Amino acid sequence: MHIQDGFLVAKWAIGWYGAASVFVAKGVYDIAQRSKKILMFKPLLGLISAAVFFMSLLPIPVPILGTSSHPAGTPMAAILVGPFISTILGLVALLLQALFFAHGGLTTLGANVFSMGIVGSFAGYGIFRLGRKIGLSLWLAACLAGIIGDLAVYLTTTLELALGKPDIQGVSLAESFFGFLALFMPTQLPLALLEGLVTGGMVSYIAKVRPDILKTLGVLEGPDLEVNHNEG
Amino acid sequence: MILEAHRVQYTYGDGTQALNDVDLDIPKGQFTILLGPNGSGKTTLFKVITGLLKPGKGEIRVAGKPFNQFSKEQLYRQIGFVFQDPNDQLFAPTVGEDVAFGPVNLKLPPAEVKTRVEDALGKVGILHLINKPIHYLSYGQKKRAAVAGVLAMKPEIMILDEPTAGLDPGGIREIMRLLVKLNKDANITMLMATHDVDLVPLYADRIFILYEGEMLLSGPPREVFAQKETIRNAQLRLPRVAHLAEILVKKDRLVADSLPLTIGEARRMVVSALQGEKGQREGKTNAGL
Amino acid sequence: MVKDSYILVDALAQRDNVLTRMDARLKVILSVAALAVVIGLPGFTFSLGVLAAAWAAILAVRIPLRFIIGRTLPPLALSLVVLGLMLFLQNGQPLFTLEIAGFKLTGYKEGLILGSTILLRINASVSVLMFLSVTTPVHELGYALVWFRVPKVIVEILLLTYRYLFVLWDEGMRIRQAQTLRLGYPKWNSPAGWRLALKSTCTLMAMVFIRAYDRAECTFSAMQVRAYNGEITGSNYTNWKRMPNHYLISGLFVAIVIIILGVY
Repeated sequence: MHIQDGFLVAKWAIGWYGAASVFVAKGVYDIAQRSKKILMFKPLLGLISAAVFFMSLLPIPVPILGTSSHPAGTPMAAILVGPFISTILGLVALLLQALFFAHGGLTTLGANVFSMGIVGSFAGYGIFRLGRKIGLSLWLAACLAGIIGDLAVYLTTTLELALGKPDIQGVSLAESFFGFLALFMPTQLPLALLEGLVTGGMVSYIAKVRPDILKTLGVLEGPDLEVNHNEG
Repeated sequence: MILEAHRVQYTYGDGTQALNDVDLDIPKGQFTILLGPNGSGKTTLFKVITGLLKPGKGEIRVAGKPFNQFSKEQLYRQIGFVFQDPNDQLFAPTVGEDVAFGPVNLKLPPAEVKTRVEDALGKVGILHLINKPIHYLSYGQKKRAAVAGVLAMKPEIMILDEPTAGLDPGGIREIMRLLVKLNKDANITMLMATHDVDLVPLYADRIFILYEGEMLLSGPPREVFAQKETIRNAQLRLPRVAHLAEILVKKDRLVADSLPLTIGEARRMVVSALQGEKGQREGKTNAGL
Repeated sequence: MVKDSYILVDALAQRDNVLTRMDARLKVILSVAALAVVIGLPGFTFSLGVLAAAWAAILAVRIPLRFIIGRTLPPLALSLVVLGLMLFLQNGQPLFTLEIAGFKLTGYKEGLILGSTILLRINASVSVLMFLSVTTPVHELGYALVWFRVPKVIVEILLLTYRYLFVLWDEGMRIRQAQTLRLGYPKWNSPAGWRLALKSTCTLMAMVFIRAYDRAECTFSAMQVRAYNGEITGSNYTNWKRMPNHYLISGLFVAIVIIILGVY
């Protein structure tokens, strides 16, 4: 769920750019540092980014209704590459979506990066790590990461809309927040569930077929990227 | 020798021994073909001799000097490697930028980069596509762009992994003509891998047969293809015309000094046989009179 | 489908016309300035002007009308809903009253003005972005971003994503077709069918990811034999020869910033 250009007033559009830029800066720094140590990191990230972007464009079946929807993908990306770098992948995906599919926009890019990129990544990553720590299975941890990550994106977007819409006399912030919340609830709850199922399904399938990839990326216990690729 | 590998061994992390005491020597200026079935270790050997994989044992020399005496930039000025799938190689958004990637990494001045890019694209015949995004290219054009990307580094030797794979007959002819032209005109030593046996006698000065990680045979095509049994045991075969001639010799009492490897050789053989038969028949007719 | 839109926009931006020949940096500046005016200034006259200008530019380079309409209708529908909400929510001078099934709805003048402002803002911004996307190939946009000091790393990832989405999409669709042929995607309206379709989707996503990972290793090798040293965009064979000189662009940029600040 991306906010279209025109919904946020200038003050908030700029404000969210500012808030997002802190996390983006840390993500850029992380990538720069890691690619200095691991020469393969940039091409690897480019391909992972393309794969997650592809995932976010795939229609996933919505139960019973017979229609389809698209996952956000950032919880998945965060599980794979960590929340800060996943923020950068979210930024890239949002920019391409705004250009090619008119989803989202340029003035709202900051707000969308904040909700989908940052909140989605951190919520997803946090839940996944926490879940693994308390001994949940890979599937369940990733599934919960997807569900809660998606819900967090949706709550943040709602807040951004409520804060950033032009002032209307006689409508308070709380009223508009819960108004938007109620408006999106029916579509967003099943979507969050699907995001979870897809994230869990994808992670556990990779773990079954190619556990080495998850080990290399540090998702599973095992030798990490630096050990594996230094000799190459 | 521009490139030598001596008793090279390589074992993958899972224990598969991909190369076992492999020797390879490539004289300057020749067109060499490495022939081997799928899974014989061709790609692994190429990755080892281009420095992408470190051999477990053995030594590799480029222009007489061992590998470790080269810096990365020096090494890849000598050796160019074209990958089998051009999509692996072409990562930049446009053709021109992809070709420029190598020269820029060699830290050449911008004007020199520009000339090299245009020169390389001109040589492979796709200069008009210089500003096109990669995804607008046909598969054959992508292969050419990949060759240009390596050509722009002006290597002494060019190593190509299955350059004809996935191309239609017309595409194969074009890319092979291009490689021969680069070999003859630009004097670039060529080493390519393939399992397309029929290509070999047309283009190769020398061939190597690799099978299950071991180098079985090496030498000029005529000598190597004379070892019919070894070739067949290595999951390969003779060129089609040679096989036909073999059957003709065996079953139809055709006389041949050696098996023809190309259509041209086969034609000469058949023509001379026909003339001989004609002469015999005429002789018979005369005798009858 | 999604891919059609991706390829179509890309193809439109690759065409040769007055606007695609224009300096990408200039187009970025114009678009950002236009968006700033639309979002930042009160009233809807500016938005109307931007909307008209963007449409005129797009039509002038013969972008197919079907594409324009396809791009315009969804945000238009959305903004009409917003207009409707504003009309009745924003209190002020009553314009008219509707009675539907016992409910009394009053439309207000202030609501109409606010609603139309937002409607025009939304549609003007969409047309600006449409202008940018059908006149600027992504790689040129990327270099413009580098020139505007957007961190190179972001642009490098952007360009690799853009390039390899084409490759991964084709691979993904081949897997999907193979799954479909083996009945991996039954109708989704039964629980069993939905579960199978969902499972196939997860497998497809995972397979594409695995292939992308393996391809990254190959791509990295291919970069290494061309003496890769960690810089991707640093190697750009950028030729800005189509462009007016840097001073002109910087001048234009400063001018627009001053104008915007002045209006505030």
